[in-house]
Amino acid sequence: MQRAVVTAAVALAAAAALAGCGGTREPVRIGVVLPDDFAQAAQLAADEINDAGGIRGRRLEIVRDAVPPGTPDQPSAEIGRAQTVLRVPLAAVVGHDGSASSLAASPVYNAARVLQLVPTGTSRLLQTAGPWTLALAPNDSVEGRFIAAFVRGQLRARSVVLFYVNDEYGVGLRDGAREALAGHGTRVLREVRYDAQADLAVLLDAAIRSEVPDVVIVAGYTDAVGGLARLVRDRRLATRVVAGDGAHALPAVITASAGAAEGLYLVTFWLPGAGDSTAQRFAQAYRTRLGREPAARDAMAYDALRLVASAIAAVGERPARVREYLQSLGVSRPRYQGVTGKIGFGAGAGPARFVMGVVRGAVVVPAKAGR
Amino acid sequence: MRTFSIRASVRLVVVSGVLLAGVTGGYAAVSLFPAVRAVQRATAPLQATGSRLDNTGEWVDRTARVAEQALEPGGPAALDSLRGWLGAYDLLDLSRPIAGVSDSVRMVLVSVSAAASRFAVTLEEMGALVEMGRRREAAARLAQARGAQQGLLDLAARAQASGLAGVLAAQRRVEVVSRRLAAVFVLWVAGSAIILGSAVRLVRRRLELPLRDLQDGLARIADGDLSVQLVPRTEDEIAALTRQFNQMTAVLRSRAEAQGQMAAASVLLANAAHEVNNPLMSIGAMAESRLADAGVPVPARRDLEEILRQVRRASRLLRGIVRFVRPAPAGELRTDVNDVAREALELLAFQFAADGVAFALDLASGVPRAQVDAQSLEHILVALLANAHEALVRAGAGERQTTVRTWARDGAVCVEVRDSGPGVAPEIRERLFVPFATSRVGGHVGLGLYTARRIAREAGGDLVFEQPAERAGAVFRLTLPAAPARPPVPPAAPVAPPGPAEVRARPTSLAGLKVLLVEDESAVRAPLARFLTRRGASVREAGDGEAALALLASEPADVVIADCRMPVMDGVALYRTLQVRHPSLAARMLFLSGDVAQLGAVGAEIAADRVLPKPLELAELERFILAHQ
Repeated sequence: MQRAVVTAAVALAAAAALAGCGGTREPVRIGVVLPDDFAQAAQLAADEINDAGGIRGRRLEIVRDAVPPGTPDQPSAEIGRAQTVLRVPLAAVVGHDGSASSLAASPVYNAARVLQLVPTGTSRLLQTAGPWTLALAPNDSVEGRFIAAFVRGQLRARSVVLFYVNDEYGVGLRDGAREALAGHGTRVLREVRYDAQADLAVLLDAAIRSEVPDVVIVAGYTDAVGGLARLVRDRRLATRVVAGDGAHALPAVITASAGAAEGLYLVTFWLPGAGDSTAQRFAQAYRTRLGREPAARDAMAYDALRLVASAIAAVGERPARVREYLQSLGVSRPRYQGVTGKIGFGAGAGPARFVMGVVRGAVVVPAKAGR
Repeated sequence: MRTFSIRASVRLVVVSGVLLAGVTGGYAAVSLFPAVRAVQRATAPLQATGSRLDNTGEWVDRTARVAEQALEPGGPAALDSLRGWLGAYDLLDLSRPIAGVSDSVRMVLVSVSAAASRFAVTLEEMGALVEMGRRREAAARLAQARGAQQGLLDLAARAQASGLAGVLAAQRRVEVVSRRLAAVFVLWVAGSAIILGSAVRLVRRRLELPLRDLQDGLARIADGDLSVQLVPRTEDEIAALTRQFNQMTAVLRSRAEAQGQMAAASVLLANAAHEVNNPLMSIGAMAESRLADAGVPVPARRDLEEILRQVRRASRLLRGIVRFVRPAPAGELRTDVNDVAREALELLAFQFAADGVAFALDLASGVPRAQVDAQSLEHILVALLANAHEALVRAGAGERQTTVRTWARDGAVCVEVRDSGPGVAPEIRERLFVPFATSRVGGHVGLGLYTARRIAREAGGDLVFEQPAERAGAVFRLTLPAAPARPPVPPAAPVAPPGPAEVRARPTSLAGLKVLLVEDESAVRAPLARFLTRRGASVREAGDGEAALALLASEPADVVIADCRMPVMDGVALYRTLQVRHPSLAARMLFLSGDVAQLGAVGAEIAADRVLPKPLELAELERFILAHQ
């Protein structure tokens, strides 16, 4: 009797295995909630993985809630997007774009206990948004300090006006820069709050009314950075504009600046010309596929998707296991070698590094020391 | 009928109670906990949301007022204040998500954050315009900010409403759970009532009523009713107790009946002894009278002497039997154990001889007197001897030997009764001295050894059993405290010579003594009268007390000798009458008694040395009369 039961169990297992080999297995699904142009890098990564045989023999499928390029950040809309992609079981979600959007959506993912890997968000609040939210990039304060160090050390600015977008990204970057500039001989003439609808000209004119700064630091996004670059040029100010990673989206920032982006300093996590063979390979593939130069956030999206895929390949697609795997990188496991560098999440593991670039001829190149 | 035991029933009730409490309590907890958690989840985020909205609303309101001041003449001075209020925007922390809020509230909060940001940036622009002197545009910005302020208020109201909806939903859930719990509570009360009722019924039916039966039964036994038999109500532990009670009552009843028969037999025996005493005394007196006649030929004289010897022997035996079966007040606590041992053996000698049981006395000389009264000691020894006799007879053929040994040791007097029987079986030894425990058959009560030990211990001694070896006989050893030495009798104080009226010389013979002999049986009275007459006394005879009083009325007497037990007026009644009418004669009155036990009853009024027990010898009667004149 016992023997018969064992035989039957083996037969059932074999039948199940054969069924799996028949191509009817469910794909591994990862959500991607990013603007369309940004998401193309993630799709590139997914295609490469599938071309290489998928994850554990299963096809990787990206589940998206499309965000048209140039869609302004609307945090309230992010909640709906998160709910949309979560309608199907996901191993993880890569998204959203920027800190504010990611923070707005984070409660949805934490409630659903699905890992949210934020590729470019740098808000400090992402670290406390919930156990299911991880940020790939360093936080805003760190970036602010990086900018301040560049302005003070490389540009040798004696005075700055600090424009910051009135959200968590801008405020965090402002705080980091403010802290790094204080007491080091560089005066902050004014801190100016703005948003997407702000009249930047009025704000800039008031800020420079008594003194023209050496540098205008912009903790904001492409439109405002391009706009301010244009205003500086129009007013023939001998002022350089340094912006955070939020503006590193070519050619949008060039368009927004109406051709005044030349010489604009931009913080980025990665530049196509820099990095190892992995980065070179990505840049080449990106160019081949999309016909344009990849930006840092493309590399970050690419890394984020590949990172999640490697976790699933290692421990399976259960969200809890994926999260534990990622949290162990740089702690009990070696850091992940991505396009943007080595990625880990443990204390001191430090996500991707910063690079200061400058716009030269419609591309961003690494900034050199000095003026 | 087979039912659960009391222990199982109590366990069943307890388990039912625990289950009822546990299940209902658990159900209440399981039902209530999620509802309470839902309320907590709904209210805590609502509180945080309300707090954020309040802070935001207050900040917007005050910042707008400061902005209005900045527009007034001299307004630029208020710009610093406006920038300070705008800087406080960061403190609102509007970007930080509030955990636990619903998605609808969250979306409203995001909109609030965006509207507040717009409000702040608009006023930032207004300040810039004021700074640049462009007041008209600044006023337009302030108006826009006011519009944003109104939008904020609307959003706050929406957020509150959305949050309240969650609370109301949670509250409705609590209400549903409360109604369900109310129903559960009713069921719980009903279940509790059933279990409680069952418990009460169980206690009453299984404990209270059976225990009351037992209590009533014990009360009836205490009242002397040994016929009590209880009927078990159920089959449980108390039913077993009830059966044991019935068994105990049956044993008590049978023992009591046996004791009653023995008591009746004792009375019969005492009465028979009394009745036999008088003929014996008559026979003896006649024989003595005939022997006093010198003319009786020698063969006849020998026969008469044998008759007299047998009468004396029968008299001793009867006295012993009566003394044994009829309780008497305890005598002096100074008893010669050797004497009592002899008397006890004498009582049983005939039975021993009849059954072929040899007996021997090994009595040490100089044994001090024991501190016990003679009758109690005789009881003990007779019980031990009877026990030994029984054991030897039951043992059947073989040597049948009983030995009574006495000796003194360390201020104690020891008496040992040893037999050559099979001994006592181990299983019986432990019950030897237990009341009603007997291995003998045929109406034995089983109190002999128990009573013997009790008497010994009450006297300060003990009675123990020793088994020398298996089937090597049995030994009962009685230990009694030795009586203290009697203090020396002080020399008698000189007595004043009696007055002339009191002088009455003690006669040395019966010659001339006027004797009134009061005895209802002429067969006794006549030989005594003839003997006293022969000894020189002047004897008058009466058949009862009243006849004696009549004779005394006609002629006084020197001495009145009366039987204690007589019809019409017995000796004691006569004595009482003489105490009134002739006190001096009453003081010299002598008594005869055929019942030794009666002496105790008489002794309360009459000195014991004035009573001569029947049967008596004629010479003894003469000495008795002379000793009391």
